[in-house]
Amino acid sequence: MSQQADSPKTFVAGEALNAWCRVKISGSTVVYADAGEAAIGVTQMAVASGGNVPVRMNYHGGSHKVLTDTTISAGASFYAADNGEISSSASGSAVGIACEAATTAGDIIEVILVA
Amino acid sequence: MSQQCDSPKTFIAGEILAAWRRVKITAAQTVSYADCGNYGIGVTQAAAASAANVDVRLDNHGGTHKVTADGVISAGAAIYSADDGKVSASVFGSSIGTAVTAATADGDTIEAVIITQAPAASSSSVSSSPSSSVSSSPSSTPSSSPSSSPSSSPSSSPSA
Repeated sequence: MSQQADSPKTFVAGEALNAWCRVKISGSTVVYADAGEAAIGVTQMAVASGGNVPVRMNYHGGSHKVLTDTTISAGASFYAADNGEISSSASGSAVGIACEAATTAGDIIEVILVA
Repeated sequence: MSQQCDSPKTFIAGEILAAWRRVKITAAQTVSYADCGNYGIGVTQAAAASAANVDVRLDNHGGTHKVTADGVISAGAAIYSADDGKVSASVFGSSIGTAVTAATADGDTIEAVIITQAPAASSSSVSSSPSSSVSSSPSSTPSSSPSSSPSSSPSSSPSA
């Protein structure tokens, strides 16, 4: 039976996922959204493939923590990168704006997502 | 340490801000007026002195927003960004939303539906340290998620 749920919503991981990464729906699971790909939200914890993972939806209403793969300036727009990370390198349309800076690849920063 | 929080989110005012004005991020955890053609992230919920905390109802909050008009706007009309965080009936770039109620003069506060927009590719560069730090009152912990299979809800997001 169909349902509706508030964010964060729990999905089944279609692959091993890190926390704070953008994901997309793939079949009945979620997997990383890669460079240039739209996402539905951000993982709230790491999970093994087949495990349950809470996803804070893009339109949760608020900010998100996201894993970066490059440096990003506070106030800068950013883009989707491979493995659910975000990057200052342009790939498709911007997917959000940074509330704070990432000084090193791998930093987790607070952002406002739009896609 | 980084965090995430529900809207409204508390930022630092980068300048003196009036209530019900659209703002943009100008430095780490800092907002200033979104001017004509600027990408905004939300609307101030109170006036604030420069460097004071200010609550911002984010565009992705869900629901309508109170915003300040810069002139006459008809109910149902498309609205556009204007200087000092106001909204206008004057076309400039893409519409940022729709007026739910009318404005009859500059400074009127109206109810509007704001569209969450993708930032321009060039919106960038402000400096700063990655440290975050403004806590997020008045909200913070998100509500739990009622029922979603395939399992239980994570109850609340780990907003740090």
